Amino acid sequence: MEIRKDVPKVLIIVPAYNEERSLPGVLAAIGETAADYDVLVVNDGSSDGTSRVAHAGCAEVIDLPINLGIGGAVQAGFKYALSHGYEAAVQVDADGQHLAEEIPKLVEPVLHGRYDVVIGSRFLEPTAYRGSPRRRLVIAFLSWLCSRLAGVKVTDATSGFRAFGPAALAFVAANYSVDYPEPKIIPAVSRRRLRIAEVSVEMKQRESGVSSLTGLKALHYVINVTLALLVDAVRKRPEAESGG
Amino acid sequence: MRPIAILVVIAALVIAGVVFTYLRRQRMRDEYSLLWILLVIGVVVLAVFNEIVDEAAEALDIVYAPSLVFFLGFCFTLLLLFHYALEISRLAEQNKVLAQELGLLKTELARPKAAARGGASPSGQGPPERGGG
Repeated sequence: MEIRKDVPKVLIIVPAYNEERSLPGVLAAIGETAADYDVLVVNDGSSDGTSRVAHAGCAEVIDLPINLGIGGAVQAGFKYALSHGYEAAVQVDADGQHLAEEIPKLVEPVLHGRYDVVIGSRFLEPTAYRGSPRRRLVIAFLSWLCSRLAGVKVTDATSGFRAFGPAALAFVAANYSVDYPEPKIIPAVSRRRLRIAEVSVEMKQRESGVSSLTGLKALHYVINVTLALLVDAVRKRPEAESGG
Repeated sequence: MRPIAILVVIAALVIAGVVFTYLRRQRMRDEYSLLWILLVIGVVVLAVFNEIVDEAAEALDIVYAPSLVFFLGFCFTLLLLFHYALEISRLAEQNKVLAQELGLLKTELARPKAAARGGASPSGQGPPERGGG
């Protein structure tokens, strides 16, 4: 590890659960286009060779002994970033959905201190992304709800492609939900008076992965997330804050 | 005593025996034992002095007295389930924190130059502080 001066310490967190097929490509793409940043793969108790391909891809690796789910895995990455003095962290999915060349777009605003959280959105501007109408409707509804609760306009509340600045990093390392973390963290960081912004990004259709929103599953998902968001809005906080 | 009362008392004693056995083998924590022992005592008392149920039902305007017993049993079960839901949530949270700490520590151990990084600990508990960079 050579000593780099002037290069801010940015950690790319790649949560991975049974992604041995897509992970090498993701790490290679990050190595090509975002070589200034350190990479941490959080292997979320995978049963396949995820850990092996992560090590082979020259990333730092956290092997969680059990499967915690996306929220628990990403939070482990935040804790690592915080304890190692990183200034910013970027979450990038291991399924190849997020494009490495878009990472600087997210990192730039948090490093310059303009925003604390930057979300990569497929819907801020027209992009090549073509999800099913049902998926787009689900995302639109949850984004609307998150926007109302957060007081900030968000168009892609379920996007896991995000950058966190120093203040946000300290917050999410200590408070990150296991279930539905992506939408839930938006009002949560907003209540902390942290600044949220979106940037338009291209995303690929999932290469592999099982996140299919079909029929009743979509309805179940929407109801669960809506309830979680509403409960979260009235949850008792450790510190007294004025409502609104 | 009516035959049914004898049967209930025997069943209660069997439950008490099972609870005691698990306690003795330290397979159940003491804090839960009190709950089950109280339940056993309650069942025995109601079985032997079943006029308590009748009088209570009458006082509460309950026409069919045994439904009072069912109602109390149902309340007990619900409370127990609620308690377990809280316990499971607490344990799941602790489990998550432990798994994260373990993963972070394993990574620190595997790193050859761990001390070179300012000796920041991967602890995620307490007020978050920036590690030495």
